[in-house]
Amino acid sequence: MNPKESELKITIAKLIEIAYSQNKGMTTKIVRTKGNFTLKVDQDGNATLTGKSGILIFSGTPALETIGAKIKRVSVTFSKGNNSSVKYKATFSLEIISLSIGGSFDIEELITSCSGLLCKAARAMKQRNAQYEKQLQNIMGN
Amino acid sequence: MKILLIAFTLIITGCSTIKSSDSLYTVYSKYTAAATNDNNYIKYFNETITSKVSENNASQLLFHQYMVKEKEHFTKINDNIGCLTVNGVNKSGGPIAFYLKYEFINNQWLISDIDVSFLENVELYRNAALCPDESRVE
Repeated sequence: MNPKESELKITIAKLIEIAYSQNKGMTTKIVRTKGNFTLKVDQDGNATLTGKSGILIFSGTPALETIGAKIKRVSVTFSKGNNSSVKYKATFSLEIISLSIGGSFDIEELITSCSGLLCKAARAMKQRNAQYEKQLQNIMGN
Repeated sequence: MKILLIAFTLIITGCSTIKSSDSLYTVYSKYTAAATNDNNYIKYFNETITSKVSENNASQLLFHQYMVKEKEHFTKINDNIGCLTVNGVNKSGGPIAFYLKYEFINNQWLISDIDVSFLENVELYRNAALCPDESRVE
């Protein structure tokens, strides 16, 4: 079963949330600074969030585990304007094909959405949590 | 002399037919028909792709299922490399594009690289052929 568009968008949101849960200060600095920032995940699940204000390295594996296909690489470029809206373009390289998506979302809404116990529990679980994913999908757009 | 000239013309015409831009889309059409009917569709891909196929990832070769309606297509060829862009509509009704790269091997065009792009809006449809490398975020 090939990944759906919504699954890819949710994965991007999850990666940012993992970064935020690992290092709230640095993630906030990177995503709030005006300009571009990037997110890359290699085939071992090593994720790097890079912006003008710094670099954050973390494990992106938990976010990729819920996608059925094996992901070889993820590359995302984000561009941030003056307000909290962020535009992004991403490519997920699978073993044979690649899937690219683009969109925009509200970064403040995303990083403040998941502070409750439900989201902490959902992050800790490797399996999918329908309510948590629905919340992320609403933020990232269908 | 006349026979030689006719033979030469036939060879040239034959080559230009095989390597014309239309043939990229013809290969794509044959692939989608074969894949839809579960026939031998793997023959439309080159070794770069077929060497990676396993039981776990073979469904990726059925990427055509992401598009339910075709809108238009564009091709470009540079020597033995060609690229085809197919614009269309996905299952949710949103815009989608396939960017395919081809290589001309043993007198036939074979698909060697694929990017499936979910487009944010219809304004992002390209009205020219784009290769997968040009579409991806690197």
